[in-house]
Amino acid sequence: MPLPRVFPAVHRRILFSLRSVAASGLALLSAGLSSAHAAAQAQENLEKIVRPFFKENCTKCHGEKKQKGDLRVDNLMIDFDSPKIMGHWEEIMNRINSGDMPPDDVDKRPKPEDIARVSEYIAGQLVEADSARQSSAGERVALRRLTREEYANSVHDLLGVNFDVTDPTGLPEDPDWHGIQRIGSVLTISPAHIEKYLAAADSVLSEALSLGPAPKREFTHISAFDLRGGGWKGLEKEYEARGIANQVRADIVPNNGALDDRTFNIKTGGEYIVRVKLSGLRPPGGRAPRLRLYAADISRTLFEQDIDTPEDKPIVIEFRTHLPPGQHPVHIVNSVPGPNPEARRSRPGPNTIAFTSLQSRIPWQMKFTDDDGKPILPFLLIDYIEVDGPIVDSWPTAAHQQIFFGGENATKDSAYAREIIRRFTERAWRRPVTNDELDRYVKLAEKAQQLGDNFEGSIKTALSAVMCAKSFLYIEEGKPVAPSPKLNDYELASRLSYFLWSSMPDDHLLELAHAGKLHERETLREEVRRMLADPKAADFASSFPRQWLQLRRVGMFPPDKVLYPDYDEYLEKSMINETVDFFADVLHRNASLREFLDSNWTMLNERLAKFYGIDGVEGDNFRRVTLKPEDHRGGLLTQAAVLSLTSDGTRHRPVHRGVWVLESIIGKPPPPPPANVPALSTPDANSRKTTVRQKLEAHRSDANCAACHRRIDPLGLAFDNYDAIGRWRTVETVHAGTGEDPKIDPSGELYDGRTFKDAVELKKILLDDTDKFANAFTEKLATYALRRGTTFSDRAELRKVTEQAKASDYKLASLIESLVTSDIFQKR
Amino acid sequence: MLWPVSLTLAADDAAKTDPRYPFRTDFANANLPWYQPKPLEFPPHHSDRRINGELISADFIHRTGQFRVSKTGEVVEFFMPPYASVHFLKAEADLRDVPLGTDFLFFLNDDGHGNFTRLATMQDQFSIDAGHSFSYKLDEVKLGEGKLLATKQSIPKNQPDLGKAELHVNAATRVWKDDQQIKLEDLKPGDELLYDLTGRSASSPGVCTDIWVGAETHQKVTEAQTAKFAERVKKLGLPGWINKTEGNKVTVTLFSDDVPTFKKTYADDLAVGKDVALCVANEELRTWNPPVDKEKSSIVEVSKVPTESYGCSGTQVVIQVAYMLEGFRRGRVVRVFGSGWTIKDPPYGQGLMNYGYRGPTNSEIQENTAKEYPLQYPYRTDYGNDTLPWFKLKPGQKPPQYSEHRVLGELVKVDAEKHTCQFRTDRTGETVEFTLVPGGSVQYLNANATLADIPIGTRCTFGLYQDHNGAFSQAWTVSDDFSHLASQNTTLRVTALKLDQGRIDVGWQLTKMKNYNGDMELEPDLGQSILLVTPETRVWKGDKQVKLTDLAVGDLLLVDRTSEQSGQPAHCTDIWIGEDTHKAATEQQAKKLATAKK
Repeated sequence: MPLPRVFPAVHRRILFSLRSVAASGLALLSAGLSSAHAAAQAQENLEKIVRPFFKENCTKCHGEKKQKGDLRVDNLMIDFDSPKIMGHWEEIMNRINSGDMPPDDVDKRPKPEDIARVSEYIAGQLVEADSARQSSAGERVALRRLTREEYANSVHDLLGVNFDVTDPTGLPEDPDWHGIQRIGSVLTISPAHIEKYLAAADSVLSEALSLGPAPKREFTHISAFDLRGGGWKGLEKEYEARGIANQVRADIVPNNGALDDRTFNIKTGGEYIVRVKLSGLRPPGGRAPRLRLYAADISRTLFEQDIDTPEDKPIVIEFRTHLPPGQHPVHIVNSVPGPNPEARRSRPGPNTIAFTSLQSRIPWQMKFTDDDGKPILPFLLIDYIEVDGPIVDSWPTAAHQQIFFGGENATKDSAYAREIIRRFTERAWRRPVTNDELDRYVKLAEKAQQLGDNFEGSIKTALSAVMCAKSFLYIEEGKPVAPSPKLNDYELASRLSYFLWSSMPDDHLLELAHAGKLHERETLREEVRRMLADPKAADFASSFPRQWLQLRRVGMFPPDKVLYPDYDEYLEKSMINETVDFFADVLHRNASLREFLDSNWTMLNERLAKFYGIDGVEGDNFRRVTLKPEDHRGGLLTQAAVLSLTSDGTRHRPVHRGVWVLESIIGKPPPPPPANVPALSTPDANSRKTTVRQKLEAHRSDANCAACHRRIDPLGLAFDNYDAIGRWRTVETVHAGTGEDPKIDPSGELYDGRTFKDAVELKKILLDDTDKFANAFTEKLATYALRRGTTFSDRAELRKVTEQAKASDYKLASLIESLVTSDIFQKR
Repeated sequence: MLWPVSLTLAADDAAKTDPRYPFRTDFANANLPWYQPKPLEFPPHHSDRRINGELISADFIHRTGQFRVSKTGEVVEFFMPPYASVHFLKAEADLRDVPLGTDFLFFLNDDGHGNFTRLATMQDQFSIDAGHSFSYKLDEVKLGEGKLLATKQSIPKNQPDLGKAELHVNAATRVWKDDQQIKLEDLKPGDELLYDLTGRSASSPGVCTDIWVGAETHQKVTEAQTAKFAERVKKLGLPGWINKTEGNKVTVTLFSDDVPTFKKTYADDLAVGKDVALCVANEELRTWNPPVDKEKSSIVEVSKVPTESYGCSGTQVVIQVAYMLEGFRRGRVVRVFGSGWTIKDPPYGQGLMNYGYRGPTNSEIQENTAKEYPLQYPYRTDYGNDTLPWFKLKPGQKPPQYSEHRVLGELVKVDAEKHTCQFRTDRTGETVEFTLVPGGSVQYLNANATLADIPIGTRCTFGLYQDHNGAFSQAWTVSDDFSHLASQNTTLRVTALKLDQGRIDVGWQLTKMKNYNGDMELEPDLGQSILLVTPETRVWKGDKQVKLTDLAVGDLLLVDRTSEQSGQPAHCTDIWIGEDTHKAATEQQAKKLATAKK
């Protein structure tokens, strides 16, 4: 029986690093040596921790003499390149973790702490292997596809067109790797992508280019009569005769779903202005009604906002939205949760009357206001909706004028066509193009003209092909003919631009690249500052925290409506916005990373403030709010989004919270759980109520579980004062069992022996470990920026970045500057 | 509960002051203004004016009516606010229960415009006497003179002689003993009598319509009327108004003008913890669709409230509902259904929704949106918005609903060439000059017509708009009573013929219609009234003129009449008998107009 192939993959890393040294000079020498050091460390640990464990517990059956199950472990090495070998390691980890191995009949079982150390070691190696797979630094050419958001941003910057990537006609959702959605190796292309890219290019160019007459701007006024249709429509003339047609309003109750809808008939796709005149009445102390316009066919919320204006003082809301051509049924929803009062008694009366005032409601309908006229439920009164568009700022469009740069009087010959295509392609591909590359597209334009297209049409065909080329859809790094470990300036421009703007480089960046200056440290530093000050940096401020903290998991298991009736889509969005805006605020102030761990402020809107029980915050907009200790908030860890993203929809999950902290904050993901872990037991109905913590403790009494859980659980249990959706509590609501709901115990002891009594003290411990957090954060930032996993070979360089930032107390913008100006950022 | 009635007023009494009342009364405080009705306040006793009169018309649906004042012969219109009551045979009654022509004492409040049309209550003679424990001991029967001589007495108070009384009788007088009708001749001295009257006037003490003999008979008729009223209430729900709402609790004061009977009848249904159903209603006590509208609820509190006022039952309940409805609002009227009471839609017209009914409708008994939702009308209407200006007619534009001011009057002059026409208003006798607005319509005999087609002297309904000077001189619609009734699918069914008194009693009958189950159904009468006829009244049957004596009980009539003027009661000019005759008259008018156009 052949032994598993054992190959010291770390050597490969070392060799690669040495190659890098040779190629890149001394700048990379220390990194290479550090990588070698890391590899050596891994090897040392293998010998020090794993081998003795194997010798003690495994080799009797899986050694030189005997290989049960064809497995020999005494000489098993780490090989990142061999999925089979890494699979063996994973299997070993799972078996010893679950207690399957060694088998029950052995004389002496291993100690839990030894199991934990071995598992941790193997888990670390598995992560490294995984990261190495995501990293394509060894490839001659790295091709990393744009995410769909990056595609949309690029299209906008290229052509001024808003492309709705999330519409059904948009692009498929991108997968993530540990939350990061821009990892080249996982962003594959499917046949569906190809079709979508072709359609998208055509659609975008059709809108961007003025190939026909200016689209007719149409104005649609949808009155309350139109909104309600049916019996109301027949009243319009009568109400006009009375002189009160303009007072007729559509009353919209909470949670009305699709009761009120209207089709937006869009003949020409493009930018539209939508105006809604309305009032929104809020019950005293309650929530304001919330207007939501949802286009069902494209699954898109066009607009959403709390409305808080008196009946006699309606306001006009105006927003712009991009709409594709077609008939779009738009639901006009009052998206405040709660029972829909019109579910009962919504019939019209014997005489249909249209709503003109709260005093003219039909007596058997549900009451909207109390006897003093104060609202008793949040409702909307809509006067009208107007749809105006498409809005074309100029005709021909700015994009058209830029592309057809010669104007109307230009000679439409092949030279002109070639120059048009060249200019466009260089912008689209973010680099100069060769004549060979250009020829293909020029020929395409010529062919199109031969087939009957006019000049402009043929150009469109060519440009469409340019937009479907790999150089547009992918970020290319490296050249097959002249491999280099370093990015050239154009590649650097794209890396930087997609890092901080999630979009293509602007002219300035490309000019710096063209001048060969971009890679210079001072230039980069200036560019980072310029780019972070640009409104486009909002994309980074939103996108990075979402990916780093895995905020897409918020609401993945929708909280149970019965257990958490207060939870709704608006709350969910507000939770995420708090975290995102918190990050943005730290970034804009160039504040310290420490504030992520604890702070005396946060970002709140009224919805979330009410949820937290904090008074004095009104309206939809988020603003900075100073926190008091009794608010029990501060930093990221006690934000509702973070607390709820690990919940399962019915209860909080301390273990998942702990795992999340280890992954996102400490940067030491624990080993995955073994298979067949039994669920937490449901207590007997007659037994006393127990907390999740108490149930977990029973679970942890199993020695095989205890080791890992000792590391994980305290980090989650510390936040037991927050329920599944992040509400503060002092007792845990338990439905099964007898007696009172048990009190929360958030205290704990970390693996290293430090103790804390609650989340506040844990945060202090984490603040003491800011250096570790900074390292973990920097790794996440690098993964996001470089669009690949980081490995041993990157770690030393990243440490340098972190250390550099430490001098400035880990200021966020400074840390970004350090990363961008570091060698690793220019490394392929 | 009945209260002391001030029977006659001495001139000196009016000048007296009575510190118990902060308003003018029939007997004191002449220097003070009359009581003005206030929301959620039952008018205090003695806040009213009391007028004796004979009921000549009753609109059951809208709870309105007319009576002819005994002293002056003038016609007074009245309306019943939600709490207003009718006392008949010493029991609460519905207008439906009361025979036309019965003499009542009407208790009327100022309607806010200086007119005493707002009824607090009305009592027949039986109720007035029995309410004071009076009765009449028959002393002597003088049938030859049409008289009964009696002594007024109060047995419970041991007052055997409160004065002599002379009761007038005629052949139409009915006499009742136990459950039986007996003859006048059966009356014997010593009999204990109570009676009701008709025909009382300045010159006549009136004639007994009915005489009830013996205390047991009195008790029985009262009990029968009490049971009849209670049966109706249990079908339609106990009315009351909402004093307060708080969260899901609704505080309702229930209406009744007979506190002891109310308690006796409903105390068990209105106890704390009892399940009830609460239904929204309007000021006419009409519900919309009780089987669907009803809000299941329970009584959480019962309390006593003062009863020194008209219409207050003395019982206030706090009802907890599952859902608060718009109609559960301070000041609004509701009906409460006790546990186990059957909740059904009222017959067509009595309810406001008339769910499931199909067929010819009567728009005047449908929900009146100008009354129920006045803010839907940005102008004054005949039903509300008194502080707003009237709608101004715009040339070439059809005016909106309820924008016209409807006035009854008798056509006096039609000058087609000069476009000047006149009518004299009903009852007030004011002469109004008017022109028919281009686009306006004239209906005569339920067909399109010209003003010249309508005989001078015919009472019409004029839909008027103001001219530039604010005078209502612009007529958009003119229609005679025939057209008005026919357009509402209503005929007048003869219920009694008293031609010797020049009187025909009629019930207002709707055309049959399909009910919820699709069955043709004849609905209960919408109202009743007395038509007066003279020897000049023309009667038509088919295409022939017939005599008044050809009329029979049960005939379905359409009529035209004169207006009511001081000293000249309105009388029928023409009567058309039977639906075929009505149809023929309409066709004839239509033909006439067509011919004229040719």
